[in-house]
Amino acid sequence: MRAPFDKYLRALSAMLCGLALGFAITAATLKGGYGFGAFRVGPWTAWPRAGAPDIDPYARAALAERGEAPLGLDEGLMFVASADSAGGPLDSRCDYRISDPLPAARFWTLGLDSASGAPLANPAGRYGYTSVDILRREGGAFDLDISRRARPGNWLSPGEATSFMLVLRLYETPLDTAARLDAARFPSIVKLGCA
Amino acid sequence: MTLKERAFGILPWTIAALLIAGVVHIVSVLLTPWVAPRDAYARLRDAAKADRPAAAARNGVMLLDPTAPGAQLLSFEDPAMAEGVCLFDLAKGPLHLRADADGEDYFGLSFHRASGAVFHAMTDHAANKGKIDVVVGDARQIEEMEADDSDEALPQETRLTAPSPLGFVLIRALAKRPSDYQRARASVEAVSCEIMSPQP
Repeated sequence: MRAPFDKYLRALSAMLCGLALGFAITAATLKGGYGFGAFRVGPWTAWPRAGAPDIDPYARAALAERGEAPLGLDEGLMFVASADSAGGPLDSRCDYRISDPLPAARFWTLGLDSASGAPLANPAGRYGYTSVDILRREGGAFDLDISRRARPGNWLSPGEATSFMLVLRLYETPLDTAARLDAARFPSIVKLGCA
Repeated sequence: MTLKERAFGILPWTIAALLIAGVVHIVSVLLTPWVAPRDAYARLRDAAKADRPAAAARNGVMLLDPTAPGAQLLSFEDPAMAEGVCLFDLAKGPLHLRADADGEDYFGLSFHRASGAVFHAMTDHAANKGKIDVVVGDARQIEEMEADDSDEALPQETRLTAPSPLGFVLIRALAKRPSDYQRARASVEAVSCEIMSPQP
């Protein structure tokens, strides 16, 4: 007499497991990115199709979930980095230096954001630099220091946040979905030391 | 019951659970843009409700506050940009957007569906003699406009067919230096968005 009841129980638990697993997979896939077609170049990642009309369902879902209105591909392309050039995760207790070069674009901006895409409160009140207002050495090269302590020159602070992301936005760049990317043409993120 | 028999007993249920997981995953990804409660359109619409009388005075453009910690409306917006938004509901008529572009500073327009996905984007490089003139309509509205065109004069405006009746246009002007912000904001303020009344 136990057998039929046992079957219902198993069917129910299979259904609940399936539901939970399905939602977990969805949450995991929407968390870190925007679906397929990512450009990965050194520590930097961009999803050019997230701003193109041929957007895939994963990117569409990720944008809606995050409340994001991305740059159109004809406007520009956003690259994010959550690790340094050696592959270690960015930690706001550590100091980093970002150095030349940058890919071709009419303008670019480079700043810090939280993982959810909000600017980080910091004592300097500065959230990023543009290609025009960054201080350059003779010849046009530049360094940008990320540190909680004030630095001379180009400096951004992650403030009290525990982790952060670097966001590089290239406005009117010739890079498109068919571009071949060369890591040597993207800025390096070097860890200088940790407090 | 041996261990092997037990394993075979569980196998069909495991397969069933995995199949259900697959279906749930696909359906939830496809449904997210429709059911996400805080998508870009919902955030902007809520802000517009609080801002409506002021927006009407500014030619239908809602200026967004500078992106700053705790004050940002949309995720992953550039703090160096002065931004404005025109929400559209094509059921009320096509949207007519006009802007001036001096061609010196970056000025971008992205046209979004309610879920945030982009269906068209342009920058000041697309301006014709320093003017950007765009009409957004649904397929029927654009067809009617084309039918009304006279043969002699070509239409001055760019016509876009929106894939969904609800959506928004995000206007971004770059402040190259923090001190340029007010100037960039003024160029966003100079944009006009009007709902074209339906043709009689």
